[in-house]
Amino acid sequence: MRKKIAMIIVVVTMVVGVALRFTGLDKSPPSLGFDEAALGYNAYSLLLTGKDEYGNFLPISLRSFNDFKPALYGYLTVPFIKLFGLNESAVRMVSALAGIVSLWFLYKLLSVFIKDKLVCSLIFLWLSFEPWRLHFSRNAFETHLSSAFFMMGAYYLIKNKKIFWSLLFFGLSAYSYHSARLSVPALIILWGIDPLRWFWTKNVSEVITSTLKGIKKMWWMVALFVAMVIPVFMANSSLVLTRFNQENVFKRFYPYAPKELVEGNNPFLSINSNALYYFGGIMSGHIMSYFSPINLNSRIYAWVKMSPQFIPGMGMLGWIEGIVFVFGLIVVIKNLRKSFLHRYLIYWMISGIAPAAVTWTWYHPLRSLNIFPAIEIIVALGAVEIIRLVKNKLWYGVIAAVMFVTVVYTINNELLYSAYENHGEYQPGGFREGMMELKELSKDYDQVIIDSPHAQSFIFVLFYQQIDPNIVHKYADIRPKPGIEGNLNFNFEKFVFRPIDWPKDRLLKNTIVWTDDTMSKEEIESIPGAKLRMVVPNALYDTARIITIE
Amino acid sequence: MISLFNYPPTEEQIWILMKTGTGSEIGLLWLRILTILLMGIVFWFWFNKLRTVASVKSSVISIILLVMSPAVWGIGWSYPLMVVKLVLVLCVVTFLKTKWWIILLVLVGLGFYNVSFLKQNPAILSKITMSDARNEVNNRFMSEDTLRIKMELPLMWRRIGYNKLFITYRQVLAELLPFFDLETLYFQEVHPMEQKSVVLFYWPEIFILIFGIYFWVTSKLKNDSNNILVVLLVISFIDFLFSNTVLYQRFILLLIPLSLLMAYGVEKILVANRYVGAVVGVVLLYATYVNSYDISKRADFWLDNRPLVYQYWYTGIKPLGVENFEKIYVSTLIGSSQNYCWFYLGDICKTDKFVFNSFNLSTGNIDNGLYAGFAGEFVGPKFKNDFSSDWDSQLPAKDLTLISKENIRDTVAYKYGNDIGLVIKK
Repeated sequence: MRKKIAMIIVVVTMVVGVALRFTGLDKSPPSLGFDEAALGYNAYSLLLTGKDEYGNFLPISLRSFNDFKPALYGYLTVPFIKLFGLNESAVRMVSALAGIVSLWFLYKLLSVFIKDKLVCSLIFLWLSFEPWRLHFSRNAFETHLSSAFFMMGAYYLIKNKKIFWSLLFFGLSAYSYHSARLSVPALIILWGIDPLRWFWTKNVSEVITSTLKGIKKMWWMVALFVAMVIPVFMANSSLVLTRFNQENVFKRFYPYAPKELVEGNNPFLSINSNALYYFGGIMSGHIMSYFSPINLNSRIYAWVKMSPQFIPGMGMLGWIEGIVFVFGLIVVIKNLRKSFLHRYLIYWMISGIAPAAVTWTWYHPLRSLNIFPAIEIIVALGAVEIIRLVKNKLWYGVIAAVMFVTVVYTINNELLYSAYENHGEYQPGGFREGMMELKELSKDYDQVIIDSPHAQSFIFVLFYQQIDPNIVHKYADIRPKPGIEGNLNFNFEKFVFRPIDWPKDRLLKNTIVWTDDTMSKEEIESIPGAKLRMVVPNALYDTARIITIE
Repeated sequence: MISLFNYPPTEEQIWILMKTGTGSEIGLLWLRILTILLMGIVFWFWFNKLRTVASVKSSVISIILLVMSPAVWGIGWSYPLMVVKLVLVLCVVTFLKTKWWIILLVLVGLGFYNVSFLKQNPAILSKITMSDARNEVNNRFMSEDTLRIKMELPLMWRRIGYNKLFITYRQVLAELLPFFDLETLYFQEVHPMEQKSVVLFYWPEIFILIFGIYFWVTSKLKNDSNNILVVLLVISFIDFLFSNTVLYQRFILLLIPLSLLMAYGVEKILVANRYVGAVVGVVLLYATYVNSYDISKRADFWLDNRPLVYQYWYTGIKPLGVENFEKIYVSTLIGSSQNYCWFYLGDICKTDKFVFNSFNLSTGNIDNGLYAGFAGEFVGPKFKNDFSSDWDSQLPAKDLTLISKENIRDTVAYKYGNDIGLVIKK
């Protein structure tokens, strides 16, 4: 009976999960971010020409905004664009699917740790509504696809069966996002060698023997994985590391000690404020930040808030989960000695944190997404412990009621409130609403000037007007070179991306202007030959004007 | 150069000195010495209590870890009322049995002490009244209803998630989650948000804590030892919830159980391998040295800047001669000007020569006198707090003469700038 109920709960959870991930992908979030638009347009270009937006044939990395995104997400989006056209839903479909697969594997992983099927299914139901799961499933994120593959690989690794499946999914993970290229070998090595055991091993020879056994167990996996990802590095070896060069912690914080205390030419030789001491603090802090409950639950750092990974009002986990996580950690620590499964969770965390820890940001969910399933399992272990301690069954009813309301809140927060809060730089809006009008009008005009305050506005033009990729390829050589960051707009065909200078530009002829909404209709039409053709709305306000100048 | 040892008094210290009528540097020094001695005596009692529930080694290490903490010194040197709180809690735990009703009394007492003596207004109390919840519920509905493109969810469904009761629960959780803040506890030296707080524990100690937790959960410790630990964790948690002050002071009671856990870890490391234990000791000593050096060079980075402002003003006024001015105007933007005046200048501050109030010399008539204030009070406040370094060049136009100015590190009076000064109008 318990098993039947458990199965019903699991099925219901999966069905609701599908509904939450696939419904209204074009409405919530109501607009694309520029990374999403870039993924979509590159997929479109691959579909039509087999090349990315720069004309690179079947690339392993998408040069995109000179950030060299791993290309797998783009390739997997191709069939959806073929089926549904180039739009928001098609672009986000891969992430939604990854979310569903990831959900299923969450259940499978929980089953490894929690033997009681009913308890396992109830905890699965609870964790399936974690804010990060909903949020990342509804936005096109390569890292989300990567983390789903990573989770699948980690599952087969922990089962120690179907190792080739594990390697396959790990490989796919590495082709989906950069961080897996470090996380995967780290996890395999830790899994094979199991270094935490050394603390309880009596003598050095035993340590050496077991280490050698571990190396024998896993060396070929690491070698095979490296062989799988060699093409990534061979394709654009220095450029692929561009992202690392841009974001690494080593340069950014040098000389690591507070600048007011730095003495002499070599901060590493200072006695009073040694750089190594402070560097150790920074790296330790980076690692431990992912174990800090306040970061998991509620603290929002500035670099998170100003990005698509921001979940308003919530952290990656629901509010109570951070506290339950502490209980779960204690359970894990308690069982470290006798249980490889529990040590594996720590290895999973460490390997997932490693790529994020070497970047300058203190806590960065997007770069460390691989660890969140492990965190959820630790939360689950904490929940099991609490259930064991709670004797009065009346509390179960209270807990269930609170959890239900929390789930409703989380769903509302993601589907509605998040759309309101996140509307801005990263999800500017307006382009979808205005681009078709602009496309129609531009047939009769010689020049289209786009004056948009939003970064990378060119990609929205490419996306929403479905510009022929063959045209875009011709401009590859004049586009900003790799290494250049910031605004990467470039002029193509009749499109010019620059700020409007009305004293001069009012004299232009046969021109369309896309500009912000600061000028009133009267002011516009006071310019000789100018006519306001459209007030472009986004989900919250009027964001732009389309003006023609005859 | 400002260091911890010659740091100006805090408002708490001024208040005590006023009550005892000993307003002078000597009086302050005695107060500090007495406070440190009081803390030392309590630690001694605590050590003796600890010996009954844990090993001597753990007890000694726990006290050493506490004594090494800059937060303990910071509080001992500047916040006597916080030390009194520490004293009261440790006395109860040391001398009384840890019965549930005694713990409850302690918790109620802590809340009362924080609110009445320390004049703190815990944020959690406003959450429990649900007024914030009502505002948030309204805000959520209004925000979502303004969306032109959105998914349609039934109103009843939205109301299940957005209601005062649940939002209150959420807001209360938001108040207690900061208790679980590893960054403030162990990484204040390299904090990513550069928040204002003294170091509680040095970052290498996080690894000792992990060891300590491991040995705590896997060892069969005496019941008494476990009880003390749990009781202290609960007390520190409740104190955190019902306090509202500088972050490191909210955590001060948590230092005690954490030091005990870390002591277990260090003891086990020493037993397992003396040499590793020695390395741990050396690292911690070096951490203590580095932080001591840091505080000696940048005391204003770690400590409250407001006492520095008052010190600057009143030590600047004194050599000018109070009797040379008809009126002396001192800003009250950052709190109890009058008390600080009394500390530095004596009873003359109680006469009507002194006017304690904030002012704005950028508009209206300016009375003759000496003005001690912020840049924004001399040239007008700025919404973005962006004052140029030559703001004082505007003063001659109003017949004002700058005597001196100084820049302080922290923004303690937003919109009024980080420069403070003494200005005369003749």
